[in-house]
Amino acid sequence: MAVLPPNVSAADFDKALTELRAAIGADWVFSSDDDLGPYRDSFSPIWDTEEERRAGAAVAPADVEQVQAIVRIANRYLIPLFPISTGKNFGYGGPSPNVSGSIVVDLKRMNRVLEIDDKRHFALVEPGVSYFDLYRHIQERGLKVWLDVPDPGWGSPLGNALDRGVGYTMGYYRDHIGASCGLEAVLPNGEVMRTGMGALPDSKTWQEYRHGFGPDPAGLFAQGNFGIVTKMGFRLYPQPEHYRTGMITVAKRRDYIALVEHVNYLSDAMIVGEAVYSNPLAALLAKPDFMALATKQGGAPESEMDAAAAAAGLPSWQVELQFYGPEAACAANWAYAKDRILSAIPGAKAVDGEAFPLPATPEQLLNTGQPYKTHIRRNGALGIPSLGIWKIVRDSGHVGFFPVLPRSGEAVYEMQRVMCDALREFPLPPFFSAVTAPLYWPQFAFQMVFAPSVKKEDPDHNAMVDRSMRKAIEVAAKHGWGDYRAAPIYQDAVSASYSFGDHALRRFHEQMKDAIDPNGIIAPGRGGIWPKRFRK
Amino acid sequence: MMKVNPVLANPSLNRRGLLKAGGLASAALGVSGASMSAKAWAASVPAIDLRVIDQRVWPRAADMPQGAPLHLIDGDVTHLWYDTLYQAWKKPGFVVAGVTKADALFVLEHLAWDNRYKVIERRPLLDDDGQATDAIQWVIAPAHPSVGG
Repeated sequence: MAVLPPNVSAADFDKALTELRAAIGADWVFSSDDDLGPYRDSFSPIWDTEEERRAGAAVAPADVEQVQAIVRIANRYLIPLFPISTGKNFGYGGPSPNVSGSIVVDLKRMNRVLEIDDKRHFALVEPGVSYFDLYRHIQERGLKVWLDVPDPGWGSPLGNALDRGVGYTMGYYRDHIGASCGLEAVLPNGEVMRTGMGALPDSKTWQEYRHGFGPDPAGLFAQGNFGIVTKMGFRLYPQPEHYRTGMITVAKRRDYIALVEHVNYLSDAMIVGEAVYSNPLAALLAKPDFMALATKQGGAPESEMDAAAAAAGLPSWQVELQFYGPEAACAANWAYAKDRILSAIPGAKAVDGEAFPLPATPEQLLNTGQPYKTHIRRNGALGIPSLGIWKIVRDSGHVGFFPVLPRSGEAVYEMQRVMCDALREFPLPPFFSAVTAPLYWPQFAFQMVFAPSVKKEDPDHNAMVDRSMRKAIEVAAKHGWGDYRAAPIYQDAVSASYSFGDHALRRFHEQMKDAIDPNGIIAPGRGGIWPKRFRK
Repeated sequence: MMKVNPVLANPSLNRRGLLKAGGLASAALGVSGASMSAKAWAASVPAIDLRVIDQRVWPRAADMPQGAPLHLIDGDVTHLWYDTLYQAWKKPGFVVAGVTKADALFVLEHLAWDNRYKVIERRPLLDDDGQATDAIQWVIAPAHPSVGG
């Protein structure tokens, strides 16, 4: 029995499917329960409940003209569409729509690499091109450019960018929507629009100057619902010649504040790639006494943390630095980083890590040759898509909350303390404690991770996880920390937390939505933006 | 010591039968213990194109009988995907069977969907006492006319 969208009769839904079959071919319209299985969120904490967001059908167009036809049919029947590229996005809703009964527009068949240039360093791709597709395309042609890939790397550059995904190389490229350059979208009225220089017929710089002339609406399509993106350009990292790593440790908990400031400089000056922070004391969490200290109500006293580190013979913090470029430049930059930090922070130490010419050998990709315990994702750091991360997924997956916080040691300590106390009531692992390290995936900000696992066979557990997620969003927002990306079931809560000026931003989005998509057919609710007919 | 059920070790099963009626695979996979002979295994080879063994649940892969090509994994399916299935699933009619942990099958199942293939059979691997282990035996086959399903 098909799930129908709100206010659409079964008869009208059937008529729409008939028209869709005529428009794109019967083999590419899916409506049986079996065929729609792939469009469920495998990580959903509301799996198999009435609240689960489920597609009413799915369609897989082959080209832009078919996307336009789908949009026009949806307008006729007021059926919401939910476009996906490859539909991964696990932890953030997977391929499932915001509104049950939506027709998922699965763009996987639109999988052409339209252009790639390793002299001007860009690519132009369709939504169905995966990171593996693009990587293979580059390798087979011996092109001298790198991708910046998320982990796992089975999604698409276009889809990941539209969800504001991140990677692991140099800062500019790690921000995937930030490194995009020009897009094409089918608008809710069926027209095709190009942004930036793409709006200029016969322009040869669509992927080299993103702004064009006048306002650039490209950003509206990220976590938005103003059209179906059918092409996107990306800046690509010129393949570096050499890779070098090194680790710096600091002795005292207070030293972390200065360490972060120095690494910020190295990062913003584009001397280092992703800086990977970790806390060596995390190894002590298996000891009940230390666990109690690290999760102490009101925060762990600095003196007690220092004492614990001294007793264990461990440094308080460490950061792994990564350098890319000519061999001499990598060596000089590492020497500079060591000198800068060690001369400023008493007790800081440096350990040389692996260094090798690129491309890496298969053995080097295994990342087993470091003289210290490393937390670097070596494939990702070298722009190579991988699926190995799945080995760490527990239970039936997880949901993700990744609050954005300032790049400062003080902010890290505040988030550790506040979120640890706030989430103490939930029987979950201590995602936030005095040893929780920030993630340096965005270019200019930190994030921390709260990703409780879900269990399909345990609805009580999932209900607890759901409550914890909602409390995390609420408490973080009270402290000025917003989530960067959320599953459809949490998008309204996250959107509501961005409430400056009596929700001026959300009202602005709604006004645009109503003007551009008066029938509200493109992904209603995505990003917390509801068209007028869905607003309560 | 757990014993792997010879995947698709049914001598009566051919490719046509498998694709037309996935239920046949159930019988083929349902043999408990290592009762199927190597000869019977070899007879089943035409039905499948690739066998996948997760060494975390079946470390004695070297003992597997002759048959379809064998790809060993340690839970990470990256190379299986990139080097083999990526191209194989672009063609019609490719059938792959395996014994893995659930995490590896999760990834393979989603990759299969991307390529219009699907899991047509899955069941837990049983130990000598008939108890389910944390390993799953499965078959993935075409699921759409564009790939011969």
